[in-house]
Amino acid sequence: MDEDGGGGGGSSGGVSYICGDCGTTNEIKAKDPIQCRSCGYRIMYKMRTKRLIQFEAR
Amino acid sequence: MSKHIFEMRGDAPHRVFSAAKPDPAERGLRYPEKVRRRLRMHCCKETPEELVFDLIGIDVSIANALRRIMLAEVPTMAIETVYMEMNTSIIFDEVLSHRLGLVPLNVDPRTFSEVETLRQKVLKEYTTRDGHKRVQNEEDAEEQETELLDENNTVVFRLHRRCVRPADADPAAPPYTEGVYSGHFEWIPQGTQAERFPDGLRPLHDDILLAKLRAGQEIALEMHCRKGVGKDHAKYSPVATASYRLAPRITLAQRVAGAAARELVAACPMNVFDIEDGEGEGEGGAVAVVARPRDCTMCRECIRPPGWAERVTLARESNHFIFSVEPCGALPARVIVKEAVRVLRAKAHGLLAYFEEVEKKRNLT
Amino acid sequence: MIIPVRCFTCGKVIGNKWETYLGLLQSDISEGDALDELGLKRYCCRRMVLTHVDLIEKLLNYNSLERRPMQGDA
Repeated sequence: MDEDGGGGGGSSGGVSYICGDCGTTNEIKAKDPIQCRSCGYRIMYKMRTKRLIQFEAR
Repeated sequence: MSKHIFEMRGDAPHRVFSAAKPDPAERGLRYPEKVRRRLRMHCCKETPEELVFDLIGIDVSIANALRRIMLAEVPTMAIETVYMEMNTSIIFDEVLSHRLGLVPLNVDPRTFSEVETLRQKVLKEYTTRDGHKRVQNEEDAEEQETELLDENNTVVFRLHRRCVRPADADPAAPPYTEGVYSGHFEWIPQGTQAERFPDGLRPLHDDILLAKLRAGQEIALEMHCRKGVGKDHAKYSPVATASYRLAPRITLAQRVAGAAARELVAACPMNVFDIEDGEGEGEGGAVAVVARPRDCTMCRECIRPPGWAERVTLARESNHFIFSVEPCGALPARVIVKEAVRVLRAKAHGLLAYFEEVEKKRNLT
Repeated sequence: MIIPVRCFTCGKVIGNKWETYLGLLQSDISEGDALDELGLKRYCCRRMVLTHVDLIEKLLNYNSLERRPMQGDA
């Protein structure tokens, strides 16, 4: 399912997010509250894909 | 290609035909032979940053063709594709790729060939109808456009930087920042490239700032470079500027001496005139001479005060070109000029071949 | 944002001149003299450096990764 090629976290079907405040990586599953476990901040950022992306140097 | 003079007068430039009689030795000669007789070239200044040379006795059309070819059609190597593995810096992927593309590389384009598509290769190998039939086969149209990359047309670089705050950093110190520079490029030799280039390949400058990283940010990418020309993208242009101007010709119609000479020297902002000791006594013996005509910018400041236009003639010669070439890449300026001449010659030969073909066709029907 | 790699107009490389330029200004050299020192003689290249605003220094401060506690991958 993990189409992002690496944004996902572990094997348990959760997705890793980075906390907008403290920067810790959180694994959040479906129906989990969107909140950082270590600081409680509610703005989370998706991880960048680990896929190779091609760009034209123009 | 008669030579004439452009005179800068108070109102506007005027074209004045040269009074010189046609050279009897040139009678009956064809255009190329005439050019060969008249053409002169000499180098005025050569530094790594700039080449200034004179080209005398050719048409503007050819001088301009040379200039335009230097800007747009002399090939060089530049980064064309970037494969981004990781970029958590605050410079966007597209912007970073664009910046990487503009970095000049110290790779001689003459040692590499141009990238071909499968279609071009087939057409070259089978110049007959057979080849056209092959490429007209629609089924593999997409495959025909694939580019054939190999060690003879591609150079690969890697860039991997990760910013880690030193463990012993003072917490009170300003945040730790690391620059990513063109010197961080790492050359990945392909095939036999390691033997062909024992000194390695690298960018021309090692200190071009590409991005800045704070602790925890990372850039990891691979770059593929290829050969191209300036008309495709400015990053392929081998020169920063290539320009020409017509040589100034400044003459004093009458003797300018004494206070007038001093007035003339003071009037010129480019310091074109000097005072020399001429014949005569005291004040009147100091005469003005044209010492540095090449510095003249035709500002006409010297002919502005009433009466001076009769004494000083500012003009340009129509067939004396002062070229200035400022290279910015692997090729030195004199090589760029030489390559430009080669390109121009190839174009002329191409045109000639086309005319001959048309002629042949017309004779057949 | 960040100093451009090349002059927009003529294509001369200026990406390696910004830090030197700042250094020259620090040592009390006037802008014009500093640009001469860097070998920027045309006004197109001079305006690139003279009018550049280095915003990246401000944007670098917005980096949540920096506050991240030391994790396994750091």
